[in-house]
Amino acid sequence: MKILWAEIKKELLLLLRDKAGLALLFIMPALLVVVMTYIQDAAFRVFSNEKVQVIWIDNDDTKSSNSIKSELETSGYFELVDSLGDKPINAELGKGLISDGEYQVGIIIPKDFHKKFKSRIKGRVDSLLADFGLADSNQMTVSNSPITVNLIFDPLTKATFKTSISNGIMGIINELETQYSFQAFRSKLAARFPYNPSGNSELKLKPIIGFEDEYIFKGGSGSLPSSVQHNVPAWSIFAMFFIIISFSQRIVEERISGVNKRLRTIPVHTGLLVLGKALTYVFISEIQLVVILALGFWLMPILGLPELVINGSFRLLLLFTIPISLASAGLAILIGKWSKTRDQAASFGSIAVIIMAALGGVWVPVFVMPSLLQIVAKFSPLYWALEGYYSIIVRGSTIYELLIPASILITLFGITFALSTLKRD
Amino acid sequence: MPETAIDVLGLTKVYKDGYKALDSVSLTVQKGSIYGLLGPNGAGKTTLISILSGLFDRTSGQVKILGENTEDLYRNELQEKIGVAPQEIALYELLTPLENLSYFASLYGISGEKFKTRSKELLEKFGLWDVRNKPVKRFSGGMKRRLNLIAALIHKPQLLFLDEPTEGIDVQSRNAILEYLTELNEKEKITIIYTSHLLAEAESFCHEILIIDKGEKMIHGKMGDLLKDSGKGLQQVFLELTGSHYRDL
Repeated sequence: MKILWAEIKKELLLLLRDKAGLALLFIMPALLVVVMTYIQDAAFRVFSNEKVQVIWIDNDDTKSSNSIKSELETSGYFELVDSLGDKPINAELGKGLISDGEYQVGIIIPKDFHKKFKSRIKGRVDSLLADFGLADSNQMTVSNSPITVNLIFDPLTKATFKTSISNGIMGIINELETQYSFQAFRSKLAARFPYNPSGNSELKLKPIIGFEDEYIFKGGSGSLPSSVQHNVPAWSIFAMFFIIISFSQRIVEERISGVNKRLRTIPVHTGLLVLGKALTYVFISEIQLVVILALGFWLMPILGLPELVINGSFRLLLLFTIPISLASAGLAILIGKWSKTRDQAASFGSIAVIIMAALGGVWVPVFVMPSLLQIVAKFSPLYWALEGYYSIIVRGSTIYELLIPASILITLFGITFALSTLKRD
Repeated sequence: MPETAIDVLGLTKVYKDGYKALDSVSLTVQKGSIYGLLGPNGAGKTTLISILSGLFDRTSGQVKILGENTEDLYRNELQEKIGVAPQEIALYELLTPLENLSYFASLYGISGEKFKTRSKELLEKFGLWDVRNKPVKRFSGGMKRRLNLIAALIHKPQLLFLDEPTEGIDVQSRNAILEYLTELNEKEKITIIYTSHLLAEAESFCHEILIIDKGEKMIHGKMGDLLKDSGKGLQQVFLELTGSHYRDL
């Protein structure tokens, strides 16, 4: 126990004296978490409570196009922009604004939209009535080709954003199309059959099937994940694994300086010293977590970002940090043992961490990755670390639900630890 | 008959790449002697001292340290009796002398008053007491060498392995180191195994020497007898045995 303490004390002293190393361990992750949260918060807001600005170019300006405009505005998702100051936006100006990246999306209603729209509706209704022998004597042949409403996008717009906007706009237009079809159908039937209007002459159709969104939390209540709840765990884990770089370099340094040689002539088991190093980094990781959580609780709301909400237990979060930091320390020791120089350890360590972070879902959630990568992701310790943190922070999981990710991380530490002690310098 | 500190018989070391660093070397070191391992670059000195101190495994041969057979693994009891000052400055440069010594001492189970007394004694002896709380990285080469030696002495070893302990330091530091080691050897009968390229230093410091070259033993014996028998200085004997061509390994 005394030897373990001596090793921990020495490692802590070395860390405290290494100002650049300290910055790498604490300042870098703190900056990273704030910057990344700020950036991602904008994206989160686009899909949640922020209205999307849409350029509205109406070359028809009739009842039909105005209905679409009105429906889009009242949907609550879109803010239509049809002029810049006093200057109305035409197709040329609108396309220019989008290609400059000032707006991401625009709608162009073609000329004669109303005329063609009415004509298509009439044609559709006439065709349907003709099937029942109720055709008009003056029925005309109407084109079946759709009327084109142009949706224009900034090429840098993400595919998911584009799809959700397109679907939203098309949903509203389809609703109007159905409504107009019913109105036309009723007018035709009213001309031939006795008509007793119910008082709703404008016939506003309401959806027959409604959907209600509900988020299910463990224990019945919780808060929705915000950019903070995604970024705080993700970048805390990244920081814990970033330790690999300085830690592995320190191990190489011990070998190059000859300290390892001295240690090998001292009656002490290498495993005990390696364990001491690993425990030091467990302690450091706990501090990193507390610092980053503190940023989430107190600094981020000051900066206008959402406050961090932990749906699960804070103590469980600290407990689950132990297997995460052990896995990180194990990898650092292994890289340090197998690297010949400090540069080799730093390069290999940083590249390994970045790849593992990308695969583990730190930047992009694993569920949006291709299926093959989703399988590969499970080989990244950061995946299991993130799974555990999300379980606690978002889902409010209990210790039993963390047993699988914790076991995997501890097994990884066991393997890397064993491989490290087997390697003789 | 004096007791032996080290008995080596037919020691051979072949590295993984096939390089034979030691070829059937045998030697005996008496307890309480200062024994010099001398040879040009690549002669096998560091390999020999590394095997004797338990750092390297041997390929074949027998090694007895303080009367105990060392098999492939050095045993803890034996490690407690030996001290090693590697050729490198094997210290943590960001730590102070006291912090370095405290760490190494605690690995030997030395702490508290025992550590305080011992560290003070050694630091004072080597003129480092006043800088005991300054980081080692600010030290001169001579100060670092002295501290490197102190770290090997902190647990009062019976057998001391010194791989070029005076390499690259000023005359004052060298003098302090050699004086202290001589005193230690005389008063506490510590056996010292020492390697160096400084033949004049070895001539005045060592009781016995072994000159090796290309892994083979060239000459072995008491310093006085060797010089008397040859009627030459150590440098001349050395060059005659190992040749005067460059060894740029």
